[in-house]
Amino acid sequence: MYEFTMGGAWFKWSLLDAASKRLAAGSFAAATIAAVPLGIYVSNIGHAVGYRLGAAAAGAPVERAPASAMLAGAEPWMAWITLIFGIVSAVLWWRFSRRQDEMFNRVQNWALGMGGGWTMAACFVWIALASAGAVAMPSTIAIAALFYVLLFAFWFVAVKRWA
Amino acid sequence: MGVTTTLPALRAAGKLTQADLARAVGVSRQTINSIETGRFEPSLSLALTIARHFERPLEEIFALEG
Repeated sequence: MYEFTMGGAWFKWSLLDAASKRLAAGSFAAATIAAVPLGIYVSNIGHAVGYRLGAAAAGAPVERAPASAMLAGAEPWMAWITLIFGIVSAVLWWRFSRRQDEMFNRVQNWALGMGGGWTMAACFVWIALASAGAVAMPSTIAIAALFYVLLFAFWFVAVKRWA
Repeated sequence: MGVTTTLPALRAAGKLTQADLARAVGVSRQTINSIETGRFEPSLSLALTIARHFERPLEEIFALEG
């Protein structure tokens, strides 16, 4: 059975049974594969920002980051990799969660509920401001990133509260 | 309104570790620790499972504060 360590950031791996270890390891591996295309996309943004900050002349054309140039034109299959391996990771994590006890599931369900609710609230405000012309419309990547940040933040709050 | 418990005393009287009790009722040792320290209120089914393990009425193990 699990035991949280590092404030909820990890588990005592040795206490998990064999099936739980397989499911958790499989979920993490699938999530890592799903995140690779996103990493390439994010690294391209980071490179562009760094280039603009360091460019000697303002408005100089931004070269593509080496990673994204390597996969130029391959975006559709990258998105399919993220989608398929993301689903595999989620299913394996769901099966791992079913093997854990009620405190684990209370922590997880509360974090998911609060993270989702606050993401929705933030999106409503963001879209309203964008409709008023105050900010740009949120991208799907930004909404997903906001959800994951809130999910992990509420996860740590829940572990501190109950575990 | 919180919940108080006599679980630590019951467990000590039965010479059980938290891990022993956790294994017996099907939860993690951390859950038993959180119940005993008052940080986590068990569900009705878990509370009844613990009561059945000790062969005591539920009200003898868990009670409302105040």
